[in-house]
Amino acid sequence: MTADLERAALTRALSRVAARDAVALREVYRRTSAKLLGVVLRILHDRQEAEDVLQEVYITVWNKADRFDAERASPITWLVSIARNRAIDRLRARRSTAPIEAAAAVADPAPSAQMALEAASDRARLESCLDQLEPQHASAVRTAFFQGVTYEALAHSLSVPVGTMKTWIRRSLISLRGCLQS
Amino acid sequence: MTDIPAPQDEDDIAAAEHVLGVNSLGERAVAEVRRDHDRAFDDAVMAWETRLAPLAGDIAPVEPSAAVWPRVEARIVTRTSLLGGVNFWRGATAASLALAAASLAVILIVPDAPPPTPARPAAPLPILTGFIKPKPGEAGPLVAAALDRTRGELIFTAASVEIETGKSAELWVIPAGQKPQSLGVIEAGQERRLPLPAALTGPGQGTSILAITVEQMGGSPTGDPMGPVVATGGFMAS
Repeated sequence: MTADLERAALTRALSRVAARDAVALREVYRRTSAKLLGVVLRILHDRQEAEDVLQEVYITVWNKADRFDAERASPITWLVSIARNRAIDRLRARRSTAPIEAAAAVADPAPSAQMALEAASDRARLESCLDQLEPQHASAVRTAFFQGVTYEALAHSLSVPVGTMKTWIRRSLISLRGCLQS
Repeated sequence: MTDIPAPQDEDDIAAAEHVLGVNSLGERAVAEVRRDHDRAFDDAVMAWETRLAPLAGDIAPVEPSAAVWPRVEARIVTRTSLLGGVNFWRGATAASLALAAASLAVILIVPDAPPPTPARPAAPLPILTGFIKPKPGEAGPLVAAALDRTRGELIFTAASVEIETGKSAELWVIPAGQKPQSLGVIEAGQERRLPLPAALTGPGQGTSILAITVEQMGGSPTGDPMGPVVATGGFMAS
């Protein structure tokens, strides 16, 4: 299915979820749960915990679907954002933080075959903007996104002061915003 | 550093950091509460979600085990059948909002008491969040706050501080049955973090009231609130 069709189908299903249609939630789940579990697992690295969070994600979708506005966000972006938020909150609530993998080693995956859920052109634009950053800064942005780790953990993994990491990330975000607007 | 962002950029960068996920649990809770009450900030967050979401295209899907959906289904069915569906909650919310609007001091304490569920619920986050806002229809400060028990700190961000010029807005916490304790003067766009005030460490922490008064420049000289209360709020479990 193309990204446009998938987007339209998900948007329709979410509007039915907003009207408390459990069958529609099942459809949203069928279309997106594997993708969202991938996102959550990437942050939590624990299957059991990730499935608990996935359950919370769809309860959140059930409760907040009336706030989804197709004019403001694509449905998959909205769903991925809920999944990331829930996973990151869970990561933060862990008592001890497992050491994160070295940023440069894991966080720079080559763009893979495009998922139908995401528009390829958006992905290509973001990649070309990331390519304009210092490689180390781009790597830090990717690690932050994929692993959901704090400034402190990022700084520790790359052996730079926290203030330096904040400067890298903030500067990168401002550059990305400008690049994506142009 | 010469590239300090302009003040109007601070909120957008805060939104970007929230989306990227580099903040602490308390900071994240503050941002989420703020999104619920500050449309401009919510717009900024959603714009960043749209900018960065294409990265997730790289993540390979992983099929969940067959046990997950039945647990989701059990929870939504329980909620709708036992409690008369969403209308029960919407009705309760409307009623509490009407009550708040009718009272002089607006206290935004939303009880978070989900019904018992057969499925294993996730452990609640060790966070209490609060939002302080002016009386309906009036200008005044908007503050999002979170009490982070994992780090033992109170974090708050003033989304806006609309008070007369030449005055300061001072934030107070009022534990049930105790006198107000100052948390200091607040400024718009400023994020502050404080060690957890002693008054907020006891079992009654969730019932404390937060309030903002308008004081002389620099804050009340006496240590007690002297000026008018312009906004109030409370905490809720997150």
